Amino acid sequence: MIKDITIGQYFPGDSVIHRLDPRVKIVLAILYIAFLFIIQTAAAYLFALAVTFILVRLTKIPLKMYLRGLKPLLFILIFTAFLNVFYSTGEPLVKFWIFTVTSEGIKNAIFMMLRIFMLVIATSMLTYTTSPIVLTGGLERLLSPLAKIKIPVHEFSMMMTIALRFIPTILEETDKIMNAQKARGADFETGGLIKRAKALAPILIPLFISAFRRADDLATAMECRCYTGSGEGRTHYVSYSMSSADYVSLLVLAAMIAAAVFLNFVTVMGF
Amino acid sequence: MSAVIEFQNVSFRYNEEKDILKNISLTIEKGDFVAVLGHNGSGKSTLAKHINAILLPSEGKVSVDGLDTSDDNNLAAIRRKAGMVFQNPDNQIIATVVEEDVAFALENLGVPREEMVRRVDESLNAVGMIEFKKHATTKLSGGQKQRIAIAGVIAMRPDIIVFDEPTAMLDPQGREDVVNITKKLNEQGITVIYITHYMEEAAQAKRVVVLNDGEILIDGTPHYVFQNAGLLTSVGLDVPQSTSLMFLLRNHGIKVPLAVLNEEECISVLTDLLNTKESINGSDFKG
Repeated sequence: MIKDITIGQYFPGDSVIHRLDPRVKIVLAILYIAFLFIIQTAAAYLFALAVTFILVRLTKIPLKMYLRGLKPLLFILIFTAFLNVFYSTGEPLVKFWIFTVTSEGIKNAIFMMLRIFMLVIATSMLTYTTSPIVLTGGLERLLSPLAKIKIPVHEFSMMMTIALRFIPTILEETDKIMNAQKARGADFETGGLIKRAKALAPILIPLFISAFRRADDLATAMECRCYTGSGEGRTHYVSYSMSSADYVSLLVLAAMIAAAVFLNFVTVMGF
Repeated sequence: MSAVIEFQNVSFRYNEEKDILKNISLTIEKGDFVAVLGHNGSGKSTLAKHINAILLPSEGKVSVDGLDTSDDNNLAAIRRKAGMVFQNPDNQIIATVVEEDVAFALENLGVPREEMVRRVDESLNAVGMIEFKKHATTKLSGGQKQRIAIAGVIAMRPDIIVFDEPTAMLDPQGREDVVNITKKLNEQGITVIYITHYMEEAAQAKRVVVLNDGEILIDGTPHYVFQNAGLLTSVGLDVPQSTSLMFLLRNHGIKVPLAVLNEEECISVLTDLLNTKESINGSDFKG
């Protein structure tokens, strides 16, 4: 079950995209999403699709992996398309009962689906090509100016780091507890929903007790290594430096957004 | 030698019902290797946690290198001077990558990056884990994780390292590696406080302090402490097997020294004994 969730998964690799600075990647992903919301013409959508596919190829992660991330969103995709088809104003094409299908509606539906499709691919690309720990580090550096207005950026980042560090440990522990309970005759596989939910109690209770004990130990160990809880005066072991690839990709995306804004402006002005 | 850790009439309790530590006075010299022995609930871990101000005495005073642990202003300095390695290797590793974990204390201390990089390599070399620098911490064995935890402490360049049962959850190989590292660190001048319930490990220290029920039962060189095998067994502690064998021989009226701590010493005592026996027996036949 846990294995099916692809969002937030990381595929180790050494592609151009993998090597980009995590701060740049986060900014690029946000800018790209902004770009997707600015564009309005079919030509622009075709261009965006082409860019998306080129980027997917550059990551050297099979397209199949990206599509798998779309699966849970299939319902939302169809639902938005449906709403767009029937609730857009414009020239009616077909009319029956209370539904009116307009050509604008069909156009909007296709655009909206493409937009969500590329949005998911762009965000998946960020997590697929950046290890969670690097992502957290990048986010901390990006948001560090916010610490000045008393937003606990360092604390959030430390929480994320520890959570990520303990996921494998806790999973392993869950497995051990399940085996121990099975050896004592516990049954997790049969019965209805309620029976199965009840069967989880003998797993969750020991798991929570042990997690709290671990947290206590870890807090002591962190204190022993001079952790004071604040990000002030801390230095960082991992350093990020921007390469030419980082600058180039930022420039390209900035140019794309500028072009899209310009084209919109031109259309609105009625040229 | 000068005193580096001083316990002055220290008592500790979580609540009024029971004193975990009872009026303990203890002075530890710089560069010493002190094993603290005791069974579960003897207060040995509590004692250890007083050394770097994780716990503060309910009564009395603990000072580390002249700094009072109950003074908040001394906290950072004391924790930097006295590092601590715990029992469970999983619960003291903070980062997902080995080198980042070793650097954790240095990040907290605000050490500049270039210096950090140097010290991380140096510490990983000291525990023989340099080739695992880029590895994921969760994929290591228990003994390897414990060596990483030690490296993380060494990186702070402490004067004192407190080991709180560091081998209790390890396999024999991991245990041996950790013990060898502690000995090496002590040779380099670091004061080592080693909490354990393994007699064989305690026998390798320069000084053994035995705790029982929150009090110091006996304190001295391993030879001196294990000579009192009777006293140790009376409070539920074992003595090293070789010492125990000597004890049994003594009970049968055979004159052997009691303070025999390891297999080599034991072998030499036994061969001496057999040689002298042969000569006695030989003279018996003649007579």
